[in-house]
Amino acid sequence: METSLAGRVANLARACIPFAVSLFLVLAAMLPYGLPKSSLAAPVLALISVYYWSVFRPELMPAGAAFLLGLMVDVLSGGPPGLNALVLILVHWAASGQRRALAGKSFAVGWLGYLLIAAGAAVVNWFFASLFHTTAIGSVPLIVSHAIGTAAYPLVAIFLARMQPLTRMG
Amino acid sequence: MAKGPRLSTLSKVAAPARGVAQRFGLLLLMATAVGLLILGKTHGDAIRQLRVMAVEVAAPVLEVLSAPVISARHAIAEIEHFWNTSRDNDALREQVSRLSKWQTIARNLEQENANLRALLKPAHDAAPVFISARVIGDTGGLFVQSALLNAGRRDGVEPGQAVTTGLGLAGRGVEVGRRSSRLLLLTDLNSRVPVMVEHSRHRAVLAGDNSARPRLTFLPANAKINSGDRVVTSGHAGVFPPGLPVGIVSSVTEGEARIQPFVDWARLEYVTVLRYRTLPAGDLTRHDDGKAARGAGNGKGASSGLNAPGAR
Repeated sequence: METSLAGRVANLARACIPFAVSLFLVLAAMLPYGLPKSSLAAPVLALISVYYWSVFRPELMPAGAAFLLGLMVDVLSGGPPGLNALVLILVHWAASGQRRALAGKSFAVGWLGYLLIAAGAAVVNWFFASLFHTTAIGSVPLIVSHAIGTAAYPLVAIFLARMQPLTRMG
Repeated sequence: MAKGPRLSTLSKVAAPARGVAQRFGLLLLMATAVGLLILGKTHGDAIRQLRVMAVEVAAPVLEVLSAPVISARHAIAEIEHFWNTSRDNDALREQVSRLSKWQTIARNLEQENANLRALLKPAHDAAPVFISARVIGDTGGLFVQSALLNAGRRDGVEPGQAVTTGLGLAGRGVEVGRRSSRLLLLTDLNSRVPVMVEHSRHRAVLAGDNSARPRLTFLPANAKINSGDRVVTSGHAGVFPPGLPVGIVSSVTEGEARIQPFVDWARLEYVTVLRYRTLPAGDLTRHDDGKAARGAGNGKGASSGLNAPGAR
């Protein structure tokens, strides 16, 4: 009975940080920067975020949160509904399943793990998008998007690592 | 080393229900996502409605977040202008001397046109009404080319209206909410715009395929297209005003012509939505829908609605 009401509210807020940060990354990627293809970063930023939290704080990034985040990406981008939701659930499943191999290892291992899971995500994404549009969809935007993601991973991971202490429960 | 497997067996024994529940939850969410995909395919309109509602909620957030981004873009543009002043001056001086010749020609043509119109008394094209909107979200996804605008139904935006910039046609409004709407760019896979090659007057449909340069389709077999030809809207289907600049033919290969749109996608910031209708189509459909609703009741949408007056 040590935790007061204020303490519990604070803990709830802390528990929401991973989802809120992920949502912020998605919205930030969709702002009109006037740079070509900048919005292609949105789905991969969500992917990096779900991967990161699923490895380091899986209890704060449950499958439901990954689903909601993917749904937000789908709704805002106007793409096939449920596609990113499906991809991010699978990313959550794969990353939290492999967290023994990934958590607490060197940064390079984390990056490599991200690369492997992102490659799988890209294949699933392409397959279901092609099924949805009933045509083999051009894969160039997908490749560009994942190139952005791979390059941005270190920066985003450092940012998320900075955020992680904030999620420590009081 | 041995701790890991032992722990996992322990947890398997201790909390089997939790594991099953988690796995079941995961499967349920996956099934929901796949179900949404199928619904999106079979009940596109319902999903679109939900999407409009969700975007309505997100629009104010995007609007606030995009304000500093726009300010920063303006600041950068300001510095760029300052840097290029002298070169721009030279280019503009050259352009003024070139355009003043065109101005004389245009004035003569305008007068001549007015005289001929007075003689012929042709039907007037309806003048479009303009609605200005700001791009608040560059939401082009992996397989969609779209942007979000901060104008919606309350500003007079309707689905299907042409959206232009100063340079040319950008696309059309789709998924219109109360205060926000989605602009489907010319380059999107689902974009189809009736166009015309300005010089030869050949009609075609400009079809996007998610590449930067959309394709001219349904060109007549004998059409002669050269790269550099201007392409404008033809005004067919009555939704887009005729003569809006669209782009320039950039490549002609066997059986395929592609155009480079005039719009500078990187500078899509403020756009103009055109309210334009040559036919009172809204009244017609409403009338037909009313008849269809009063009819047998098993009518299949618009087609039976259109048949109803003839059958009666």
